[in-house]
Amino acid sequence: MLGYILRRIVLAIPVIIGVTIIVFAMVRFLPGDPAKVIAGIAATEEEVETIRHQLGLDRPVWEQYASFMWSLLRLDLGKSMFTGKPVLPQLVETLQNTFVLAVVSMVIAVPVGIVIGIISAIHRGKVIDQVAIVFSLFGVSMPAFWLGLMLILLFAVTLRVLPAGGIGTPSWDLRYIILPALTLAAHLIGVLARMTRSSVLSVLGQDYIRTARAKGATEYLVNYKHALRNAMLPVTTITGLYFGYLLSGTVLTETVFAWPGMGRLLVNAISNRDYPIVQGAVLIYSLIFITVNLIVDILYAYIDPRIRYE
Amino acid sequence: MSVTKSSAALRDRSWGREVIRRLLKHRSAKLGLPILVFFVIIGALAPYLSVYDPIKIDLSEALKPPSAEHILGTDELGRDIATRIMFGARVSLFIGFFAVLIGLAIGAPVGIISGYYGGIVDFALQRATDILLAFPGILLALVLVATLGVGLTNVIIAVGISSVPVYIRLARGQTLYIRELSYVEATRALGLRTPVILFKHVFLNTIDPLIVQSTLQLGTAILTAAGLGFLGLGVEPTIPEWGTMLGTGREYLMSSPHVATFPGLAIFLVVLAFNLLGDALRDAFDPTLAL
Repeated sequence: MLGYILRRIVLAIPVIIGVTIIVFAMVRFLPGDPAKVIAGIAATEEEVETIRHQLGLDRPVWEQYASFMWSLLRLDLGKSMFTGKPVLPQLVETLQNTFVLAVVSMVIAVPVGIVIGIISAIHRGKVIDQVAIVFSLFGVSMPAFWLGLMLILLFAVTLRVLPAGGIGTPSWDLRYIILPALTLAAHLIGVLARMTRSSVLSVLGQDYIRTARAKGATEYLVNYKHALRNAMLPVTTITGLYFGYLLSGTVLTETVFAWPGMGRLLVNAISNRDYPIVQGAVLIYSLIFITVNLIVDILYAYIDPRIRYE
Repeated sequence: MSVTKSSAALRDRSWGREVIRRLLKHRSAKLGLPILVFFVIIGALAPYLSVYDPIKIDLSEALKPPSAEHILGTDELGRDIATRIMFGARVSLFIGFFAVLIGLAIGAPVGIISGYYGGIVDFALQRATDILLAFPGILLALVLVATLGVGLTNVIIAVGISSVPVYIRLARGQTLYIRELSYVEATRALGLRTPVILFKHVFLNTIDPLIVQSTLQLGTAILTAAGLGFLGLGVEPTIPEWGTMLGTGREYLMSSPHVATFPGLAIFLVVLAFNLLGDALRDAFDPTLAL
């Protein structure tokens, strides 16, 4: 097991280096002269030169990358081109809000999605199954940004029971998180319901289920003890892997609800051409994603020992 | 049958007819196909179906709610929303189609080569894929648009590249399985050139899952492109694109909710149609998988 964990971690290193190269290259590959692009059209030649020097664009590429990596290792992500404030504290602050949103969505989506999938599978072909199939397909097809706006229209504008956006002051007011969390959860509910349904159905077709039935186990026992436990393995993996997608989904949801998270910060930074913030946010998203995947892989190998020997 | 003929050609025309017959009988396709045909028709015939201009500004007509004159109302610049949705169908389907084509054209060959050769080639290509996969969901498209800049071409490139890793994984997985089958071994024993083996005997046998994935991917691509548009990072502002329309409509949500509602509904329906069709195709290609 320890060998497997070490191997997984070693495999993650080139990926992390690759991610830093892409994030580094983002600014280098701005069309035309990056310094000019960042400075804006109105900038004087001197201002462009200053930015060129600040970004180190007057030095050879490898030297630039080396100094980029050296800064990263010292957790120095540079300063916002707009406010001049250091990037990292802003990212940490907004990431907390993003994290809360993502976790609350997960807490809603996982039980709801799995229960819908199980009910659907057990009542295969019946009306309740059809309804569940349509419902989960709506979930995966629904543009989150549209669903969010429609929820605002219904609950904030028409019924006036929930706030349309923001995070509430001074501390977290739970009413503010309901709509963004539901919006973000919708897709995952759909994915999990579909996944759980097909997983349970494929397990129900296995020989050991027939054996369980043959030896006289009750329908309840067959469904919930024999089938469910085995069907949950792939579902667990998907749930874990999906956390990264949930994080990237916050980009859209946060923009809809003016939720002060890292996704909204990233979108604003892209519009403002505030590249240090863009680089920092993208880097943090990927590192979280890589870490979560690593943990899921290791947990999976722990649950299912066959994986370790592949 | 000569071995140089594609092994996929074993499926004659009646097999193709059988797939189509199963597809048309499938409940999901019965719902998805008409929706899709509807949007293809309104997109193709947009200039003939509407008397309004999708771009021309007329502020005296701004933010009119749905009426007999403008069935879906007008937007903040007085443009007929129904007309813009019709022209937008062209834009979204165009973006989706070319983005998926980019993903397929890069991803499938890379995946097949990776799976077929194995070893160091596979290792290197898979780590490269891992790097792309480390930017989940809309994030890779965002990174690319932030670098390349906005605009129709860049949106297509960004959405296309973000679908590349999906195809690499799929084609590789299929190839790993096919590579071990005896007919591929036979082609090697007969001394066929590798490109011939890879194309005729490996690629053509991965085509079913690739078609299914591409159908689903069309929905994903349209959703991602619309997301970029919604964030103000999509196509040029003059182009009627559903996501961009929704993004500007958001500003008028309180007073004129119709501006954001209808473009969003269009996105939802088209994505739903591709998802339904993808599910139906999967079952039609392989009825034993149907659950």
